[in-house]
Order: sequence, then C-alpha cells, then structure tokens
Amino acid sequence: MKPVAFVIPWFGENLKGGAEQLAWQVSNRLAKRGHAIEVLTTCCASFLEDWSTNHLPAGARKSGGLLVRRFKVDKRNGDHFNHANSHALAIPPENLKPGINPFTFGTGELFVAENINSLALERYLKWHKNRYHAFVFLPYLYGIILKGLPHVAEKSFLQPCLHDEVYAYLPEVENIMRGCRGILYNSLGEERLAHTLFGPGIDRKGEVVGVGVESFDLTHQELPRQVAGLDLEEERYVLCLGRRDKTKNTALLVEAYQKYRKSHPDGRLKLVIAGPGEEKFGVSVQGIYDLGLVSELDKEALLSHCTALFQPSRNESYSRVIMEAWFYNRPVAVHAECLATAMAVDAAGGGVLATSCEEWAQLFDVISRMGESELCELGEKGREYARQYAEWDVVIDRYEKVLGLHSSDASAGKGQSRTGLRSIHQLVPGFAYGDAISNQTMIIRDLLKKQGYKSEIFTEQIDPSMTHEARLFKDGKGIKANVGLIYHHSIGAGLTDFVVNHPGPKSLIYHNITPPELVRDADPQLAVKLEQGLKDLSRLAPNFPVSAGDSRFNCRDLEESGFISPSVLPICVAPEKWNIPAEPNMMMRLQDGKDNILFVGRLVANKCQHDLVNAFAEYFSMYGNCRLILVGGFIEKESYYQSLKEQVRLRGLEGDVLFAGKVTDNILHSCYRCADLFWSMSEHEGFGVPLVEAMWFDIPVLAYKSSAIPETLGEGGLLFTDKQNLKELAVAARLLMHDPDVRARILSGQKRRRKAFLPEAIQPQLDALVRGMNG
Amino acid sequence: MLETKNPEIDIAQLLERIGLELKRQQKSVAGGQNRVVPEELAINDPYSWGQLSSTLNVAEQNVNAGAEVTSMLHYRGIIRKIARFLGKVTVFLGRVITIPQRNFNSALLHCFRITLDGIRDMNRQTALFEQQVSRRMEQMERLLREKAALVDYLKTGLVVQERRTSILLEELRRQVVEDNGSPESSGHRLTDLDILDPLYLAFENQFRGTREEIRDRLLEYLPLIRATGAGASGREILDIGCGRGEWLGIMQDEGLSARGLDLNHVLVQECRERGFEVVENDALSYLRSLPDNSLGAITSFHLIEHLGFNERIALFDESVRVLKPGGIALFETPNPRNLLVGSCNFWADPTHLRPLYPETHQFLMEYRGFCRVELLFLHPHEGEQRLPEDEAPQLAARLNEVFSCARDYTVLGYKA
Repeated sequence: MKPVAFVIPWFGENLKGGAEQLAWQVSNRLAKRGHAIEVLTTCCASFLEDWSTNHLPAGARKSGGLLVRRFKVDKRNGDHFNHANSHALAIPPENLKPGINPFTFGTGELFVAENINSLALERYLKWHKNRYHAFVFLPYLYGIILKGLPHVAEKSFLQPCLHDEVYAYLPEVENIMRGCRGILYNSLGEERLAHTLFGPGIDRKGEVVGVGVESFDLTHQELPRQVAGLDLEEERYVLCLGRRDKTKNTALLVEAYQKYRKSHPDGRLKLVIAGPGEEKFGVSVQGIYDLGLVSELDKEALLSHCTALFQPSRNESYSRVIMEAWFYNRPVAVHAECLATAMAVDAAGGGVLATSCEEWAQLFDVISRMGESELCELGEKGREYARQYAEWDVVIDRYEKVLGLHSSDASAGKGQSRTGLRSIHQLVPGFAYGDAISNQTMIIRDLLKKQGYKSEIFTEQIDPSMTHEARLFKDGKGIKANVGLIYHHSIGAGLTDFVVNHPGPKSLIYHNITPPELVRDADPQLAVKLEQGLKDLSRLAPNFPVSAGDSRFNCRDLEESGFISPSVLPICVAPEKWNIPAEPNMMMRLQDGKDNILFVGRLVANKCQHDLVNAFAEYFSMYGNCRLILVGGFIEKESYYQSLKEQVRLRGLEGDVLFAGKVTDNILHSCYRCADLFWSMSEHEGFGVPLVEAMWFDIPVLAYKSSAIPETLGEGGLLFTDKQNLKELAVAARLLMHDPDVRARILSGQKRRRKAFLPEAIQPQLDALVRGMNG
Repeated sequence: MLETKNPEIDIAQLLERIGLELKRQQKSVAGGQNRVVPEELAINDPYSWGQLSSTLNVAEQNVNAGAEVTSMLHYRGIIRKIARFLGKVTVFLGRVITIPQRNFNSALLHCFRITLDGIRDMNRQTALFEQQVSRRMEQMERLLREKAALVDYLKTGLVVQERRTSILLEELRRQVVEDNGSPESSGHRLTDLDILDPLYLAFENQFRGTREEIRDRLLEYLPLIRATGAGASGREILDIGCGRGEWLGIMQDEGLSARGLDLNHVLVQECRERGFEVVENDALSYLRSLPDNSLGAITSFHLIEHLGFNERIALFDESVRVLKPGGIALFETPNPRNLLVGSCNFWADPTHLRPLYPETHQFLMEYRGFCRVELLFLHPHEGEQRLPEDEAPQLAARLNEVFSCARDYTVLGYKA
C-alpha cells in the first residue's frame, strides 16, 4: 500500500506542544504496526524558533520506522505577521461569530501570507500526491497546512486540534475544513465546536479518534504510600491536579471547599492540590494540602488513592488528567461550562458537572457521602470511556479504519447486488443545481452505480452548470429499448409519450404536484402545467406496474390515478449539501441576539405564511426581540405577497419580518445556521425537504399537522393540530427556543429521525423498486 | 393540541408547562415592550446587500476564467479526447490575453470588496449620525416648549404688575382727592388676596390638570344639565368658582347661556379674554344680589372645600332661593373615601380647608331644602394604577376599594 504522510510544520520527539506530540506518537505507533508512514515537515526546528530560518538540513531521512522529509521554509516578514497577529488577538471574544471573518480587510491574508510557509513543500505535494495513499494535516492554523491541503484535498485528512479562538474564524480555515476529505477530532467537544463554526455540512466526514495517554504505563512500578506526609491509604481526599493558577479556576475550588467545611465542620474529606504554578492556595485553610509540583510517581500515587478528581477549569481543550483518573477507576467532577471536559464526562457518565461555587461546595458533600462502591461504579464508567478514547491501541485502530489502512477496506462492496438488468437510466423533466428532485436523481444514480449498474440521467431541460451530471434528452437517444428506466414525474412534461412507449422494464417515482387551483391566480401558466401533470398521471398508471411516491401522502395521488400499490421512496436529504460557506452579510445580520424564526417555502396561500405572520405577531407581543424570516420565491406583484406585506404593515412588524425571497444556497445556509426555530403553518407539503434540512441544522421544528408533514417529521419536531390558540403556540415556540431541556429532547428526536433520509437509509427502498422492475 | 412521536417528550407535562407560562405571561403585561434592539443600523435593505455580496461571490468563482479546459463530459470517447486536446491548445494560446485578464479580474474584485466594506462602514456611520441628529432635535423641541411656557408665565406676571400699578395710581389719585377734601373713596383696595391671584393661577396650571383633561371630565355633567332645560333663555347657568373657564367653554360650545363667577382677578381676566361672561365677586355676596327664582342651574367644581361650614350652609340656602323650580345645583369636591385623596392629595392645595364627608354633605343639602339629592362618585383609578385582581382577588379588591376608588364626588339636588 502507498504510504500515509503526516504534514506538520515542526516535527521531533522532544518538541513541546500538543499537536507536535500527537504527530510524533501517532506516526510512530502507526509505523510500528507496519504501515508505511512519512512525515512532511519543514527545516525549522520548533515553534519557538524563527520561522524563516532553516535550522535542519532539507531532504529525506529515515528516523525509526519513519521517513521524514524536510523542506526549506520561505522568507517572511515577521513584523507584518506580528502586526496581523496582535490585531487578531485584540479582537474581543464576544465579537467572534460563526461565518463572519473577524479580521478586517487584509490582515487575515497577511496572517496567512507571512505565516510559516514552504513553497517547496507545496510543490512537492502538488507533484507527488499520487505516490501517497492519504495525507494527515495538523494542526489547523499554520501556513503550510492552510496552503498545502488544497493541493491534495481529495486525499487529505485534517486533524485540526481546533480551539475556540480568533484563528478558527479565518476564511482560510473554513476553506480547508470544507475542502478536506475527512476530519479527525481529538474529542467530542472539538467536534461540537467544529459543528458550531461550520454547520452540518462537515458533520459526516468527521470522526472522533481520541488521544492516547501514556503515563499509566508507569503503574508497574511500586507507588509510594505517603506523599508530603499525607497517608494516602488512610485519608479521604479530593484531588485537583494540574497548573495552579487563576485561569485554571483553582481559587474557585478553594472557596467551595471552605464553604463545605463551614457547613460540615466535622467533614473528613480533604482537598489536595498539586501541580506547577507560583501561587499558593488555601494556606490557612484547615483540610487543604497544597503540595506544589510533585514527581510523576507521587502524581500516580495521588491519583490512584484519591476519592475523586476535581477539575474546575473552564478552558480545557483536552484534559489528560481526567483520562488518567479514569484509568484508576476514580470519578471526576468538571466545570459544566467547559465544552471539552463537560462533554467527555457527560458522554462517559464517569462523573458529575458543576458550575457555581455553591454547586462545587455541594459536590464535596456528595462525594464524601458516597461509598467506595458508588465511586468505583462511576470510575468504572469513566474507565470504559477512557479505554475507548485514551488507550493508544484503540485510538490507533481508529486511525487505521478512518485512513483506510486495512487492505480489506478498499475492495469492499462493489457490484454484489446487481440483478438481471445491466443499465438503469433515469428520466427527469428538469435538472438544476440545488433542486431537490435533481439531487435525488444523482443520489439514486450513485447508489445504482455502486451496485454495478450503468446509470445515467436524462433530462429535457438542463441548467448549464450541471452539464457534467446529466445528458440532454433528445428523442430517446442513448436510451436503448431493453434498459431499465426510472421516470420522475412531477409537472406535465413532453416525456409522457416516450415513457409510455418504452418497452423495457420501467418504474415511476412521483414527486408531489401542487393542486393547480392553489396557484392559478398567481401563475396561470404553472397551473396549466400542473393540471397536465395530473392528467398525465392517469395515462401513465396502466403502463407502470412499479411506482413509488416521496411519501405515503403522495402515494394517495398515485392510487387515485390508478397505480397499484405504490411504494414509498423518501427524498434523500443529506447534510453534505451544506458544505459551502454561509453568506457573511446575512450571518452578521441574523446574529444580533434576536430569536430567528424561520420558514422556508414558496409564498403561496396553501403554505399559510399569513397564519405564520399572525402567530409571530402573537409571539412578538408576548416576548419581543425576535424576527420572522420567510425564505421562498414570490412575485412582487402577486396578490398573496402583497396581502402578506399589508398584513405585516398593519401589525406594525415591518422591521421584524424579513421577506428573503428566492435565495442562493449560501444565503439559505446562513438562514438555517442562525435560525432558532423552524415554524410551519403550511397546509400542503408533499414531502417537506426544508423540515429535514432544519433537522440537520439542529433547529427545533414546530409544525401544523397536515399533508405529509407528520410522516416526514416522524419522531422529530413538535406537531400541533389547532391553529386557533395562538397564545399557546407562542408559548410552545418559546419553550422550544429557550427551555434547554425541552429543546434538547426535541433535538435528540430530530437527530434520530434525520438519519432516515440519508442515501444509505433509502437504499433498501430503492432496492425494492429495482427488484420490482426486474419482475 | 400538541403531538409528537418522540418518546422523550411528555405531552401532558409540556402542556402543563405551557399553561403555567401563559399564566405568568398574563401577569406581566409588559411583554410587548421588550422591543430592545432597533432593526439594523442604516442598512435599509440588507437583503440586497446580501445579493450584492453573493453576486461578487459568483464573480470570484469566475475570476480564473480561461485557465482550465472544461471536462467536456457531454462528448464521449475519441471525440472527447480531441475536444480536450483542442481545448488545451486554445487555452494555451489564449494565455496572452487571459493572464492579464485574470490579473485585471482579481484586481477589480479586490477593489469591489474594499469599496463594499467602505460603503458599509459609511452606512453605519450615517445611521449613527441620523440617530444623533434626531436626538438633538428632540432636545431642541423640549427646550422650545419649556421656553414657551416661561413666556406665558412672564406674560401673566406682566398683566398683574400692570394692574397693581394702576391700582397704586388709583390709590394715589384717591389720596390726592382726599387731601383735597373730597369725602368719596371709590377705588379698588390692594389686598393680600390680589397678590396671591397669579400664584393661584400658576398653581392650578401645575396641579389641576390641563384644560383638555378638565374639559373631558366635565363633559359628563352635560346630560344632567340638559335634562333640566337649564341654559335656555331665562334659565341661565351660574358657574361659581369658574377658574380657567373650562365649563363655561363647554356651555358656550353647546349654545347654553351661562355666566361665571370668580374672586381671582387674574382668572377672571383670562376668562374674559376667552370671551366668557364672568363676574368678579365672591360667591355669597353675588348670590345675595340675585333675585329669587332667577337661575336655571348652579354649578361649582372644587369650590366648597375652600369654604367654612357657615358659608357652605349659606351657599346652599342662597342657591335654593335663586334657582327656578326644577333647577339643579351641583357641587363637585375631592372624595375623602379614597384614602390617598383624603390623606394626601387633598392637601396639595394650601387653600383647601377640610375634606367633606359625602353623606354629611348630602344630608345638609336635603336639610336645607333641595330634593332628590344624589351622590355621584367620579374619576376612579383605572388600568395599570389598579392592583391586578388575579393573584389574591379579595385582598386586591379590598385595597383597590380604598386606594383606587373615585377621586372626586358630586352632590347634586333639585329645587322642587
């Protein structure tokens, strides 16, 4: 197998820094397992040296099991870089908002241009990418990563080691996060941060691999029983391990302990603080032992005997000591506001969370009351988790899987399930970028190809930017008589005659037709087409023994037109569509602290935007500080749009209802990203793609129960059956947006439901359809 | 009315929470005033900004036009290979033009982005300026209003001073006449009350309420007066203590014949300027000067609390005497049943003597010869000033009864 290359600005065994250590460990451990591993790095010795000096010789050199290639760094202007960097660091954290470049014009580019760069390395990547199986780039914020990754994007895995800091908001960082093939996260918290910053488009290519912890290898040594005069086996104590200073919140813990002692004067539980740092803590407080810096051996001894480990810090990106404590079966307590540690504890169930001083004080009491078995039970859960994410063997297994290093992975799953037919083509009236039906045809084509069928898409009308995906239909050219044909029927098209006469096996997929009377006033031409579509349906029925609708609701139309037992093939809605940047102006406008209530759908009477405006007005009068965003095409002169506008004016909501119109995907992306609630009053949805999209964006959905909506939502969202009681609806909306518990429950339902619309989820239904065609 | 298939959601519990929240909402009516952030500074139609920016994105995507050959997937087989080859040749030859063109494109795009940023900043600043200007304008208007009020006050003062000067002159003249041996003295005497007249006017302006407010309140009496036929010729209405003449104004507008009576020279002057007929005199001496059965109605608003007991009895007696049969007399005064009025507000006017107990008042009028004597309780606190009655209804109702009930009452009676 071709080698895997790790790309990192600096490389060496004894380099300080999380990413450098990680690269050393992972590359060496993979090499030890017999994989061909190379490291592509610079001649610069370390982060602390001058980035434009070549301390080490360029060229390839063997080091252990690795081949290390070093490249010369470019000359750079350090002053310019420092200027840009200090500008970046001066930006207050509250000004950092996802999707908005916080660097004012030019400084961001300067930061990248004068970073550590190596043209030689870039050139190497460009010319030799075919020699490698995959590239792992880490960490995210250096020039060689930002500029190097795009050259080999389709083979690249990014291990960003992402922090919530100003650099993470650089457009260049978004560029590599979106462009790379896969993302390796160190922790669940990091994954969550990436989701917040870049949306759901990158969700499915990310994988939490974890980071191994080495120190527990020490346990074979005999551990001391006493540390600094403290008898470890006799005393019950809570341990706080790590840097002792303000940023690590040690003072909070001391204060909490004092509170605990005040309310429990005879409590036996002690607090032991250990780690580097100048300041002394709790000198005069009885029961607190500040040991300062301790040896590794003492540290292990302290960890193995403690009642629990408390980690009060609020800004940890990955806390090694938590994993260590878990390896000793000890429970931990962490700060609930620290994303990385809190998520780990939450996921593991190996401890507890606290925020305020009172809560921490209570924790001391809770821990002191717990018996050894209870403590062990928590610790055991933590240990399970640590084994998953902090034991090198498991972590390296995961790297192997993600990077596709098992030779069996590559050849899996091609052409096994093909039956009878050799080619199955699809015929669709129109084909355009971003259109749900067009996306569906592409996904079906890919699924068919995966199974070994030849498959192409033919269409009557094609968007010029999509010519590489589909072919123009010309009197059936390219569709032989014996091939299978899937015909997508929506509005009346000139294809009906052709498909009726097609002699080969065929099936029909029906996408909802809006009842023509609903659009006749607004767009008479469209109404005629829709009518034609419905008429055609009954002509098609006798010719298509195999048919499917997007939803059960749509199947009813089919049955009424004479189709026999149509099946359901839901529209595939995958989040990858949103792996595009959000529109920055819209992001800026919508992240102003107001509640954003969103509905996506054409402005037509049957989607009931008028009801939504009324409901919104009610919500506004009760709570204020909110905005309604109506995304969806409309014609300026159309009466429905005009009446909506008038309604908004009469309600005095002119500044608070945004008619966004038909928008680009980038703007729609911004709307979804910033929305706090998706609220539908619609009375006619044949399937409801936006509902599923909202679920992917983790927006709680509140929807009127009508047409196909309950079917599409499944266990996601909250349905209502009565449009009249607006006050009650407004409160429900409020709870969905602002009650953390209700919101979390709704979102977890939606997380489960949305998976039903992934390509792999609709595969069985597609298979059934294809089997039907084969007879 | 809510439904979900999500097993984690307990609908009954959710509905209960919604009910609780609704109750809480009803209590705090202030929800509607939450409108905090004004919608976007300056950028009036930010959506078109978004479009502008996405148009630029499109331009950006095409900035490198002519650098690569398209994949030509619509051709197949050998044709595609030839097409690709020809394409590459074209692209290579075209570089003479496309390279400077691409440079030009990206330079222009760069310029656009900078300009766009600049315009956006400028827009934001304009909005800030607009806000500042409108704030300043408001300040100016407020200042102007204050100045206008001051001018009015000075004008009144001037009138008073003129009058005093003329009295002094008169006095002087009288003195001269006396010195010359003439026994008659007919001039006006300067009294303490005269000095207080403008003060009382200023006080009324500050404490009694605006003309419009008072007018609105007084309109309630119109049907009562109309029912007795007062105001027709021969059934004139007399308003004792007519003050600034709000009631006389109503009478004039309604075409009813009415006359005012007041002791305060400044107020009388003001009423006369407005074209009302007003007598400057004290109530009792004027009533005594009128013949029996000569008036259709006697009204008096917030006067009797300035009178002593004997004067009040005399007022009732005289009123009965001068009214025509069927005539009405009504007297409005602060209501001491309202605890706030009785214990505090009543004493805002330093010339008030004492609060009058409604039923005593009613009794006195009946006793002095009026018939069908009634009490009307008026002007209770309404809306937000009342204690909401939904939490502890009994307590709130009780408290409202003493603190928010009618602030004034009127006792009225008819001559048989």
